Amino acid sequence: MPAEQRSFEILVAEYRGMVYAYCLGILEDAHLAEDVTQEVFLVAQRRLADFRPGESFGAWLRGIARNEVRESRRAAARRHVVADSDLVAGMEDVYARLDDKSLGDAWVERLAVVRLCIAALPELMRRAMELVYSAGLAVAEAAARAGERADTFQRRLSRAREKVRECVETKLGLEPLP
Amino acid sequence: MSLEAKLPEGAGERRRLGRQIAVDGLVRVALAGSAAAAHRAPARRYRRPNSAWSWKKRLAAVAAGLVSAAAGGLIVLWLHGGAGGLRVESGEVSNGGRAVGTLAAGKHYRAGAQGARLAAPGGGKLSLSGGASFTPTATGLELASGEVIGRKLSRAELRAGPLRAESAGASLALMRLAENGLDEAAVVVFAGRVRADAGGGGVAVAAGQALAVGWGVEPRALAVEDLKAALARQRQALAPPGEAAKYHQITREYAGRLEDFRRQLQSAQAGSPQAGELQSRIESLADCQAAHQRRLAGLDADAAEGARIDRRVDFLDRAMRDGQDNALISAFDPGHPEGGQVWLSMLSR
Repeated sequence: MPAEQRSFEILVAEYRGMVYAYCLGILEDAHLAEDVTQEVFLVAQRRLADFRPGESFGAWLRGIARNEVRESRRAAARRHVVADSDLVAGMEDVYARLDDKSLGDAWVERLAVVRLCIAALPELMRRAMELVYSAGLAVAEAAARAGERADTFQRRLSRAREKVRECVETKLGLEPLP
Repeated sequence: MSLEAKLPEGAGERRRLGRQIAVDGLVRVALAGSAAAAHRAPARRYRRPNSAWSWKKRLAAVAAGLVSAAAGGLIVLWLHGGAGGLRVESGEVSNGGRAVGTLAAGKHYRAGAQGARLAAPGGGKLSLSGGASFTPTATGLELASGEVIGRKLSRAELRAGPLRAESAGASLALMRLAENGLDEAAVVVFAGRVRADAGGGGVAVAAGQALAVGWGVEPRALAVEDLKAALARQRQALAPPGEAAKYHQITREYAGRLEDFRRQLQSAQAGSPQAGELQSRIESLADCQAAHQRRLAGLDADAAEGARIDRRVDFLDRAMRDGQDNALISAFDPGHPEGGQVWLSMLSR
């Protein structure tokens, strides 16, 4: 196998998890996020010569991911996320910190920050997140499973999301926004 | 959740929402596993070799055979508890390197390489894996490392590190991988019901369920299939098997090339353009080699975690399989022609 091809495979292995999580946050659809992730790496391989050494490779890949979301017809409903520079800057706040290898060489190690924040949630909040994000239930279905009213469950889920975000911000050393 | 309709007005609010979107994506991945695990390769559903129904039928057939064989149709349901005065029924158990036949509470023992089977005075059975390290207690057993299968244990208490399992007529398998330095343990119940405590309050673990501590999943009773699916997702979140070997190969190639360049440098004229070029290549290659070696540490850690996950899955598989096999063996136990054991709780599942 040519050295260049092998090097690219290594880059894919290193950054695939990050790109997928980034796309999943934007698209909220696992299948679509996986498709876009694949496209990102196909484009990256073609345009590798455009990458300027010294830049963040992760940030470069995320730029490609945003382009792919813009161009994907299936992602039309989520295009506004990548069209808003403030939203993109907010996402980049988090991901730029996660690019830091001091948090761990492997992506899965860096993801530990998020796992710790989920683990720190009160039991009911964690359960709400698991039902929706892990079991893949719709909010109404998850509320029924939890034996709660949908609006109560939705409020708890929203609070859980906020708490995890605040915890991740603290752990990554991000300045709180005014 | 549609964000489009409710994008905040303020730039700061939108930036906060951007952070929230980023964290939401990370949470989804953290909870669902890796990219591949979350969807492209949905977790394989564990299927027992024999369905519950066919297993019921098999046991029913065993019971029926037993009934006709033991004239008068005597079926004995054994419920035995306690482990005080355990004796070695088969295999080898040693204390301080000396083989023993009976075990005393509070003393530390190790099962031989082939494992051992212990019998309680009342008839309860414990099967220990090869090399298992344990201490009988007044009411049960404390497992330091290895695996133990307990059959029809009433009022027995089994401990494994942070995990405590109280059996009331249940059959279960317990494991603790103490040798890896992590405090992890798990209990699988294949008949009856167990009260387990992992330090966060007791929970009931029913037949077909397991509770694991230190496995990266919430310590609550889960169907064995669901626990295996969670482990499969963890496995897929790691670097693929073979990745570490690939990196080792690459770093070896780097080392070979570096050595080659250094040899060439020695024979090049000092201060010549060729020597300068070689020196630059050596420095660049050495940087690459160092970067790969740093990455290798993570890959090696993934490989080790992968091996631990494989061992956990293997334990779950074996526990369920052995639980079934043992039940059949017990039903035909030639040592007890008066009727042997029939696990009615399994028949009624």
